[in-house]
Amino acid sequence: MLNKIIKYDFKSMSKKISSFYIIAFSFAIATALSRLLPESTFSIILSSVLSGTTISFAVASLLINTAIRIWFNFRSSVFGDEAYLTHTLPVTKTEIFFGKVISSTLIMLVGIAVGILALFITYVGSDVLTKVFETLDIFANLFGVSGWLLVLIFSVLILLETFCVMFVGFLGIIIGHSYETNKPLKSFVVGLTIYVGTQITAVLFMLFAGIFNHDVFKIFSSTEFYPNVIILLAVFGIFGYVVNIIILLFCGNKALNAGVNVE
Amino acid sequence: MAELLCLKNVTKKYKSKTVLDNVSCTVKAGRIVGLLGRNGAGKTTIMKLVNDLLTPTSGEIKFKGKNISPKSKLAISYLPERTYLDRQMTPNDAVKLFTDFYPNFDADKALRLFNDLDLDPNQKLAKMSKGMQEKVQLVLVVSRKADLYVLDEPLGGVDPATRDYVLKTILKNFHDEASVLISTHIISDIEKILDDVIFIDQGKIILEDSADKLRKKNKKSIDEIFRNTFKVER
Repeated sequence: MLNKIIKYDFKSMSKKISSFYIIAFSFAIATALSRLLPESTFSIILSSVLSGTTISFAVASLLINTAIRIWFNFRSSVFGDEAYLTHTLPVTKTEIFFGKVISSTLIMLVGIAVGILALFITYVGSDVLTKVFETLDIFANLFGVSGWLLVLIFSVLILLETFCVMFVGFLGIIIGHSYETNKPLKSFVVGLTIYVGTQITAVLFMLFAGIFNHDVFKIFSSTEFYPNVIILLAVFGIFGYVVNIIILLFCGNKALNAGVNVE
Repeated sequence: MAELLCLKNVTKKYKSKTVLDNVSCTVKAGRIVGLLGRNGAGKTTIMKLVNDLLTPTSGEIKFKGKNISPKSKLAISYLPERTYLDRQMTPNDAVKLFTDFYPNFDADKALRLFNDLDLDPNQKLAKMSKGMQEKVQLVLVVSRKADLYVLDEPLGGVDPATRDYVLKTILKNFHDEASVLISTHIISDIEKILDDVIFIDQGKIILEDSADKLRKKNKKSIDEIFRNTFKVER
């Protein structure tokens, strides 16, 4: 049944978000095409406006729009009108929770992929991409690791932070809806409090790295650059977020299994 | 007759307000039970508790002797008083969803009923009126071969001309061993199909009996008994 929940949830959410993807791609293609125009003041202004719009749409669909829609969808299908269907399906609360978690994760990954692809289309053939790769090489040399490993480490860190924020929202909504009044406000306050907690946990994990490398504490008192410490902190940060996510999912599932009160 | 659904000392409180107060009642197999009461009496709360949409403050709810679980949800077909399907869906999409989740759902019957009720299976629910959306939900509910049908105000949004068809549809589409728990304000319309009645007021069961016994005892129709019981004194 879990795969069916994921299928229908993913389908329902992608229907609502796909129009933003189309707009992001349309502006990206238009930007790429505008670069083919003969160079003039008009073409430069047009290209700047289009690329600016693509960036804002890519970022909007990438994080903000997708995250907000995921939270709205979760609220609506677990505590809103659609909950009348969700909770009467012959599935367990655990299947409902993890179905939502997996479909939301997939939607977020698609949103990120769309954003990155839109940005790539926007700047394909321009010197921006070359400059990005040159900068990456500079940083890779500075950190003493390969450029791809650097991208991988920080991408994983950012992805985990994104998922952490998403699941914080889920737990905030579940706990917020256990109250009888001001549910949206309480969901927000609870979510924000949990988010601060997860950030403290992530920082504590990073400080834990100091046991293995004493240079970690030097970055707080010295102006010197410690590339190996930054990498170590990122790796421990990843562990911190993994632990945060496991705790958030465990608590979210437990809270939902304690029962719901759908209005 | 075997007990299908049993509520035992069920209380539901919101902060200081008690919506259901120590409610105990049963629905036996093969019976059509009318859950009758004024607005805010607790009818919808009972139905939502049975369908796991609310968590009781205390007491227990058993279906076939067991707690509400995915297995019991398979055997209970619930029609809530509000529209719950994603408005971007068409009736056809809803049929696919129900076919996927409920092995006891009869897709052919649903499509036949859509046709009888002049519902376009390819029209988006967002483009349908509230009454049409309610008919779509009713069709989906009665097209399941369930043991218990829980119908919350099934006639509320339906025009009088269609009410008879809806009632016939409800009666025609469930098997002998199945039961129906139905709540409505329009008692005169369902009076003739009721086997048992439960009167509820201010979160308490005030009467639970067979409809025939009540009629004989009071020499009145259920509708008249209801009006007398819940008469507003000025």
